[in-house]
Amino acid sequence: MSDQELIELIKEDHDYLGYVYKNNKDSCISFMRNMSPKTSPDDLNDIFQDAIIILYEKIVNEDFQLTATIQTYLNSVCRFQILNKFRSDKKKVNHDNNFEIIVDKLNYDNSIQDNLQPIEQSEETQFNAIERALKAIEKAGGNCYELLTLFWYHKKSVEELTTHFGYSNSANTKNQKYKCQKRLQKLAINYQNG
Amino acid sequence: MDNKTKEIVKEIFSPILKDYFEISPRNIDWSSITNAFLFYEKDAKLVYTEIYKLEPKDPEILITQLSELYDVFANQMAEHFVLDSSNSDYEILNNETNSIFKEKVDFFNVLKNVTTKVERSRIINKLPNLAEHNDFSISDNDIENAIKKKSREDLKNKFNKWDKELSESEIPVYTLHEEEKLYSKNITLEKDNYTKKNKKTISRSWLKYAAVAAILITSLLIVQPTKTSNEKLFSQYSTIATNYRQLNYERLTRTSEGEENRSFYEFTLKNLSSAETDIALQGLKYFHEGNFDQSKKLLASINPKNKNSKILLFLAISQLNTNEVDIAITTLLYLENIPDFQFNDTVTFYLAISYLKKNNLKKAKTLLQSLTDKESLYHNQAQEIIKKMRWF
Repeated sequence: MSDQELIELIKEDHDYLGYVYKNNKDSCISFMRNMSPKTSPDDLNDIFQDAIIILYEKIVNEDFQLTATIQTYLNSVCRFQILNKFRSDKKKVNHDNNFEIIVDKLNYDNSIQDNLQPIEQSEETQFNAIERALKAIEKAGGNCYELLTLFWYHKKSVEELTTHFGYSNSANTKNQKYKCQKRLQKLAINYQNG
Repeated sequence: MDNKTKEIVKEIFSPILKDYFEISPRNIDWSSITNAFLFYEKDAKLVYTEIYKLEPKDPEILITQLSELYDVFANQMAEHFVLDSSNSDYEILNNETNSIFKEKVDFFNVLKNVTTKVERSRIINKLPNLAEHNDFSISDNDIENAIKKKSREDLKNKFNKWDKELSESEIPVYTLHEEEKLYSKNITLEKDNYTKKNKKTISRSWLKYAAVAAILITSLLIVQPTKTSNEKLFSQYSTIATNYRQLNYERLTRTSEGEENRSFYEFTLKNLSSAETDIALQGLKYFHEGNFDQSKKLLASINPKNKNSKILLFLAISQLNTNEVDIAITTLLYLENIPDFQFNDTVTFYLAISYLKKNNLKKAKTLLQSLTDKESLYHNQAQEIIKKMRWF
């Protein structure tokens, strides 16, 4: 399976991220360790997982065209994240005498500087209330949680949602989404006021 | 005005127009109606004017619904604005007076961020498990091709062996034709040599034909057993969950589609009395639990034929899953002939697997093919079954 084919599969079903995770983790961690041997394994793991999320959000949010291999992309994103981390921590990247030689041999693209989009929480009370309401809806069962997250995060179209849930037509899907949102909003208001 | 905005207004308005007009009005000025909606919060009378222009039979009742319709409109516009703010009409909506629209935009912005946070966390937690459980199994096609290739290689090796045996043989090998020629030239052979020759005369062309036949038979014998038995296919596909989700029984209600918290007892099913509805719903409950004996019993008791085709479909599937295949086929054929039946594809699919169970493979394949030839909910399943079907 080519990387572009895998990208198409991930667009359809994010469970295919497991394949990317399994096949690229060791190389990415090794790449980052070469770059920054003092970073803890847990931090390296977190950076790699964030890189997977960055890749996924690129795939679903935009017309993503892979200009390098997935491995190169992930390495580049991890590298950029480490550089950012060190800039903010005011630490320097470990420059081994042979670092430039090592780096040349490593698989990354300098031009890739994708980052995790920050989550705005300016209206903290409202944010917390909606988050709490969403988790309550998830726990309650039914289709609402999946419907809302597939639409708002995974960027599924109404037609894709209609097929996924087996609704009879798009109008019914929109109606269901509308009701789920109303339900969520009501619950969130209760949490906010209660 | 953006066409997307007009489409949203049309989609919201069109279904309700038939309730307010004896004959659906022609030449509706959707641009004017859309424009009026965009300014609804500033001046609702613009929409009233457009409504009165259409001359509905109860304009006041329609007008009382406008706030709800505007809510749906604002909802959709706000969603599109948060997801992709490229619509030029947002400039009109996104100002101080449009508090309903702005409130929805605020809510959806936060909802978008909340779902991002929650889903990122869920995916990250799930990643190691996904890596363990990803099943990228080789397709049946690849298995078949690999087996064919190996079989051919094995047979070619055998050819080499046979060729070797032939070349090691002391007695020359001739075709029968050549044997006759030799006789006609009066070459005298001793009887035992002649007998030996006949026994050892092996036509190479016959050998080739036998080898080709062996390849074909071996390939079929190897490949066919790897295909799933049709009985097993029937069991696999007669009860798969996605089929049931597509026939969510809550969709049978007249008034709402799959509303989650609605009690069973707040409505009656189409053409069924209250008592019959109770029985039908209990039957459907058994159906969803996989208790087809009970669902069949209850659904059959209300005699849904000529009353409620959707209930009849559930009955047919129950019959199929309790070994009453012939009866199920009769029921499904009846449903197949109902014009504009909402679950036509479902009927076709179950008819196909009924024929599969009866080993009527030609009919099964024709029906499955019709599902793969179009955009059907059963497209992928039909394709899978055709691939896996055993032909003997």
